[in-house]
Amino acid sequence: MKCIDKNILLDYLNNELSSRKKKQITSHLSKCEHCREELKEWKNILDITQEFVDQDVKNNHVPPHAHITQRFDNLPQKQERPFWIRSWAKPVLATVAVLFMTLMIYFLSPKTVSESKENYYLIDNVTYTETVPLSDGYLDDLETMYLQEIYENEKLTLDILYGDWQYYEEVLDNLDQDELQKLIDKMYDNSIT
Amino acid sequence: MKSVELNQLIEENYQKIFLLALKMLKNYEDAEDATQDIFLKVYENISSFRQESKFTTWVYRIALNHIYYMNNQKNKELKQFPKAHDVRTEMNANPSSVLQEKELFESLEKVINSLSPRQKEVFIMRYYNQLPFKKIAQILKKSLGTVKSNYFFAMQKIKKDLQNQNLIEFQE
Repeated sequence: MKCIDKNILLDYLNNELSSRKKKQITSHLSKCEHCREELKEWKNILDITQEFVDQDVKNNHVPPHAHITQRFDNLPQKQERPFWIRSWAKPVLATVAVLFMTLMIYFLSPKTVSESKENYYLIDNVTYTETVPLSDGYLDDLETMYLQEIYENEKLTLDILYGDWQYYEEVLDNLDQDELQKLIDKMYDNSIT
Repeated sequence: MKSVELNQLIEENYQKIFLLALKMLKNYEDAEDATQDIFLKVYENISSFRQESKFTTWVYRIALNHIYYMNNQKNKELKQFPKAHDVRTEMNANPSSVLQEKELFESLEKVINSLSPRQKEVFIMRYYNQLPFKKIAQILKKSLGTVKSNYFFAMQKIKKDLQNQNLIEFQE
């Protein structure tokens, strides 16, 4: 076993080692003359230092502390800090401030979407324009309009198809049973939709 | 914390803090003022003291901060002490034991004053305040290893100095 590090020797003298480590060091010291001498030297130094410190403490008169504690008794009782300085209040106040700012920005910022829109309709090759005010239900309105248009166009074609009764009768006369059934089915389907 | 408890805690720590201030500031009046100011700060800030750390750790932290502040304020540099080889010429070759002890202590005081601030504060807290290394590490917010190595270098310096002056026996 090699010789003990000086750091560990000091720890040994200061009783800073674990009992296991302490045992190891003790057993090494019993074998190693050099380490024993080293330990002796360090112990001497530590003893002298402690002696010096004790003497120094004795020589220095420590002033009495009574007047300090008396001074505290005369001081006014410290008031509790106002709530905005207390530690817990800071994060809460910050959160409220951020929320407030966000809401203000939302309400005060100019609307990026225009408030009305022009719609174009092409009916019988004539273009009609219509100004539609934008509202929350704008999309719903558009959908309804679109569906209505489809429905009305369907009706128109049906009228054209089935409105000419003379033609209708001729067609019916020339149809066989299957074709007739198909047409009836188709009519039913269309009328339902 | 009740004022009675506080007074008791101040009473327990007063002497140690005074010694710390005295050794760091090297002036009796300054140390007295510093100790008063430190405990005034402790009293004023007792409401912000969190129970996370122990009271003494907290007080020592305030004390060290205040001592450094005072040192900076008055711009008190560490006084330059004569180096070891200058002192050696004054050494008596065969002194009587009383004289030798006096010389030894004078020399020790000089070495302690010539330690680096960090080594010095570890040394003072260890010897004058009798704090365990663990506590010193907590106060200085350093690892135990760092504090121990500070202590080791301080002791190494003391040993070397005393040996250089032939004030204690050594082999080789």
